[in-house]
Amino acid sequence: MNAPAAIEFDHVKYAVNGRAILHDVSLRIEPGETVVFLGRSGAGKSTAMRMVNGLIQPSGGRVLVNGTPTSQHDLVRLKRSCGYVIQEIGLFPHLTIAQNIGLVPHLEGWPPAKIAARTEELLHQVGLDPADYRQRRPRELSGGQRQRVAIARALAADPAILLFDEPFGALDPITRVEMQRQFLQLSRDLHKTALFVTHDVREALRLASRVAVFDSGRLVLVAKPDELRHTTDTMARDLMAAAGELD
Amino acid sequence: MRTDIAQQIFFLTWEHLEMVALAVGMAIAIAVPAGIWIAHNSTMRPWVTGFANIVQTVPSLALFGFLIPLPFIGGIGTRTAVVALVLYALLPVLRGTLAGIQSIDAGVRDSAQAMGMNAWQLLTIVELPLAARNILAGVRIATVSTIGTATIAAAIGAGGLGVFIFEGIASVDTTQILAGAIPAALLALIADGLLGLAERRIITW
Repeated sequence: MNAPAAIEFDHVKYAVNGRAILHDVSLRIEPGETVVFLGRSGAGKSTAMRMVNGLIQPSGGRVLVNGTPTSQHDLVRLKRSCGYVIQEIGLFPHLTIAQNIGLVPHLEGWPPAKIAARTEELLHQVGLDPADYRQRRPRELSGGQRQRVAIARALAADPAILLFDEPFGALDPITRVEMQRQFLQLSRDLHKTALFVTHDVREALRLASRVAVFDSGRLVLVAKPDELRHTTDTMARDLMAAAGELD
Repeated sequence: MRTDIAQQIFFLTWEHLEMVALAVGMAIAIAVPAGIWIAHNSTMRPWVTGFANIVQTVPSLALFGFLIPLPFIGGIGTRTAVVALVLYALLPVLRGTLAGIQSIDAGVRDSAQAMGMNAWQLLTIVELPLAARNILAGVRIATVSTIGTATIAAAIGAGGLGVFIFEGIASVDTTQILAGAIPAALLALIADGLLGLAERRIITW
């Protein structure tokens, strides 16, 4: 018997008020893969991703996580088994950096000493000195530092799946490359299954083990970054040409 | 004679404060939960804010008058006055609570949801702390305006600093009017200052 995919989209459809946002998306994502959803704004990438942690349910078809449809998962367990990082960062402005990172472990009822130790470890892991940053508030940090904290927070309870929704979209180009490097480092070290949404072709080519290209709610192409450079698909060629990445 | 007046000012100020504290306290107890409720229930939102708006437009003397004939909450005295003051204090606290919760950043809300918080955790860990600044601002406005409005409560026999003002008006005695008006103004200034201080102590982010 085949091992279940880490994440599987099985003929997934999604519509809001009769307007179709996703049409019949099917995709298998194996454990440990980093799959990047690439496409223009409004192509349905984020919508597809938000189905994995059960923030939304498909209108048709199924999304399976570890072989079980998300509709049959305990939603709280499912959400906490996915680390989630978004462009708006979404740190809680009234909590300290340490409290932000330790929030999911706190909700999970970890003892305070264990939360503190885990927070230290994570701050080190994302390259922030705990002694310096622990007690600060999000507004005292730069955009890049805040996004590091958001990544640490997503990793806090050691989730099996990481979901990144255009996490580096608002960062300046240099910080962005730094963060991409950090992401690669972490995904190598931690061997987690990761979904990454972006409209930046270079970012996709850089981070992905496979790229899934979305256009107007359809999954038009799934390819390894190398294959994508030689693609014959018109839509994908347009994307690549626009980024100057066509061979 | 002199100590007599001082004593009376002190007594009426105390009575005034009691009335205001009771009214604002009750307004908070009603308006904060109501604000939370309508922040999450867009169907009820226009009805509840509409009610609070309408109450606010009724002239205060008229509202006191309307309440007198009502059973249980009406009649002559402090109870009726407090009911009217509560009604007036509702709107700023309600608006503050609603605005505070609505102003929470979409990304923050999204993150909280993705953490699998239940409604209670969302409320206590995220929404109320982040709405606190607006709620306190509403409480501050409610308190200051209630201190002013409460002077009219003397018209229905509820006591407070309005007693001096009404007696002063009746006997065309400016000094007596000021004996009521000055302590009331001072109370409002002090309450505003103290609440501002509390705001800075509570909200450190």
